[in-house]
Amino acid sequence: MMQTIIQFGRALTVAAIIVAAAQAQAETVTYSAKTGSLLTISGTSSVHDWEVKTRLIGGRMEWDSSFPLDPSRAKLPKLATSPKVSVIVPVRNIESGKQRMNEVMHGAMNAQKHKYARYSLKEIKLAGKARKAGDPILFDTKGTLSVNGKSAPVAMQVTVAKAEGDKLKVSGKAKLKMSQFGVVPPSPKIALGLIKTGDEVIVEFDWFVAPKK
Amino acid sequence: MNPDDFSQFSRRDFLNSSASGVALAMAGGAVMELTPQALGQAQETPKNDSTPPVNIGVIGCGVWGRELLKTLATIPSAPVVAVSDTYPAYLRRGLRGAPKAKGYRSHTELLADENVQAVVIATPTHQHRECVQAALEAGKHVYCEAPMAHTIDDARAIGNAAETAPKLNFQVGLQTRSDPQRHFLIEFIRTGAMGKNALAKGQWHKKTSWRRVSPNTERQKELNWRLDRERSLGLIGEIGVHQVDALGWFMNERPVAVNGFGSIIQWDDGRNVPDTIQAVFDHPSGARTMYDCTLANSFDGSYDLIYGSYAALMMRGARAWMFKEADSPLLGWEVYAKKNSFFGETGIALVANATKLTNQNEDPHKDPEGTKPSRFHALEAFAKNCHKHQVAVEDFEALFGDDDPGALTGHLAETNKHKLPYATHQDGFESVVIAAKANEAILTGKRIEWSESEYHL
Repeated sequence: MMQTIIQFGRALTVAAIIVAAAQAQAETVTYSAKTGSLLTISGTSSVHDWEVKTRLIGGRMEWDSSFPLDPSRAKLPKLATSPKVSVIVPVRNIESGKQRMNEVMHGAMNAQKHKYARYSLKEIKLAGKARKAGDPILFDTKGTLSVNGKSAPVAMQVTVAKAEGDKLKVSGKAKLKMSQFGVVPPSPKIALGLIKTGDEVIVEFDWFVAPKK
Repeated sequence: MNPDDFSQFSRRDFLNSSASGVALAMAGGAVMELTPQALGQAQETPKNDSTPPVNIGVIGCGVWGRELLKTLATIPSAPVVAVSDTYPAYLRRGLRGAPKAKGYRSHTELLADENVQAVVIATPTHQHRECVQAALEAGKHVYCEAPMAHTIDDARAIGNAAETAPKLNFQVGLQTRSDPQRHFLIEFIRTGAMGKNALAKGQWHKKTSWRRVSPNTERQKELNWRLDRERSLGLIGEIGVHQVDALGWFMNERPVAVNGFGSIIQWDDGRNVPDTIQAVFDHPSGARTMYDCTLANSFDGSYDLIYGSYAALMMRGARAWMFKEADSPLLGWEVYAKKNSFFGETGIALVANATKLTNQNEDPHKDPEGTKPSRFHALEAFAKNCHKHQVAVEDFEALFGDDDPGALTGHLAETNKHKLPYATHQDGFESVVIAAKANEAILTGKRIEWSESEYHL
C-alpha cells in the first residue's frame, strides 16, 4: 500500500514537472511596434550623396520568456529558442524631402504594387561581447528582406537597449545593394544631365517596441 | 475672379508709351531679374509622373470653374471624374470641359459618387461653407476656392470643419502660395536682402463691368452675387484677397488695422458694391500695404511691389525684378545675375513709377515661355498632396490601427512638412479676416483695428 502511494506520489511529481516545463516553454512575450522609430537609407550618386527616411516601422517580436529581453540585467541566460521577428516598412512613406526624388524613388521600388518592405528573422545568437548591466544586448542575426517583391538574405548585428518606460530600442545597420531586390538604381534626367544613383545603400534603423498588454 | 486673368496685360504694349527706369536711375543700382537660373539653381526636367491619380469632382461650372477644368485637364494626377452645377447650361459647358466625367445637378449628388476622392469647390463664395462641410462629411479631400468665405463666421466654420477632419487633405485656392517662382522669391527675401519692410503696394486694374447677363431676372440676380454686399466682399474679397495675402506672406507680417475707400465710378447699374476701392493696411512694424483695385480703368494692369530699405521687389505675372538701393550690401551673385537694361526719360515725373520699365532685349511684360499659371501649381499640389495624405493615413493605420488619434495627428503633422506648398485652412481663414475688415472699412469709411488674436481659429 505504502509502495503504491509513494509510486503514485512520484508519478504525480513527474507529471507536475512536465506540465510546468511545458507551460514555461509555451510562454512568449510579444513586443509590438510603437511610434517614434526611424529608418534611414543612405546612398550615393554621380552628383551628390543622398538620404531618405521614414518614421514608420511596424511589426512584432515574440520572445520565449526563458530569455528575458532585459538590458538592465548583467547576466543573461543562453538563447535557447529563436524569437519570431517580423518587421514591416511602408515604402510609400519613405521620404526624401523632394517631390521629384520621391516620385523617382517610389517608382523604382514599384511602391504602388509592393507597398511594404518586409523582414523576417531566420537565425539569431548572442554576440560574445562582454557586457555589464544597462549595456545594450548585442545579437548576430540573419534574416530575409523582401523589397519590390524580391527577397534577399541580410546579416547584421542588432542591439537591444532600454528606452523610455517599458519600451525597447532595437537598432541595426546593414549594407545592401538595390540590385539584390531587382531595383534598378535610378538615373533621372535633370537640367545638369543624367544623375546615376549608386547601387550600394546603407540601411540604419532604431525601432521602438514595447510588450503587448 | 483671379489675378491670373491679368496676363492679358501683355497685349497692352506700354513699351511704346514713355516709360522709364526712373527708379533704377535714381537708385543708381542695377535691375536684376530674379529667377532660379539667375542664382545658379538647377531646374529639374520632370519625366513621367508616377504619382497615382486622385479622382476629382468639380463643384460649380461657372466661368472660373470651367477655367479650373481646363487646367485640371493638363494635370495627369488629377483626372476629373465628376462635375456638378445647379444650372443646366453651365453643367453642359462643364461636361464639355471634362468629357469623361459624370454630370450631377447638385453637390449632394456629386458627393454621393464613391468614385470621387477629392473635390474642387468653385461655387459662388457664399455657398462655400455648405459645400465644404458636406464634402468633408462625405469623406472627400477639399480644395476650396478663394476667398474661402464671404464672412468671418463662415470662414471660421470652414476652418474648424477642416481641423476636425484630419484624415482629409484641405487646401484653399490662394494659388500664389503654390507658385514655385514665388517660393523662390520668398527664400531670397528671407535672407534679409531687402532690408526692413517700408511699404508694399498691390493693384489690379481692368475696365470691365463684372456683371454677368441673363435674360432671366432671377438668374441675373443669382449670377451677380459679386455685386451684392450681402453675398460678396466685393473687389477686396474676390480679387484683392490673393494679392494682399501674398504681400503679407512676403513681408512676413499680418495687418492689424485698415483704412478703406470705395466708390461706384463707372458701373452705376444698381449694384451696391464699389467698382473702385483702395485699402491701406497697417502692419505691426509700422510698414503699410496699399492696395487699389478698379473696374473703371485698365492702365498698368496688375502687379505687386515691396519696398525694403535695401531693395524693392517688383512682381508682374511670373516675373520679378529687384531694384537695389545704392547703399545696400553687395550680395555677390548679383555680379553674374541676368540684368534687364532700362533707360530713363526726363519729364515723366507724373508717371515716375517703377512698373513702367522698358528694356532693349526683351519684353518684360511677357512671362517666360512655358510658364504655367499659379492655379496649375496649386491644383497639381492639391492632387499630389491628397495622395500623400491618403497614403500617410493608410500606412499608419495598417501598422498601428486607429486607436491613437493623437499619434496619427503627429504623423500627419510630419507628413504636412513634406507636402508641395499650398495654402492651408489657417491661411484661408486669415485672408478672410483681412478681406472682411478691409471691406468693412471700405463700405463704412471708418478705420478698422483688430488684434492678432482675431487670426486664431
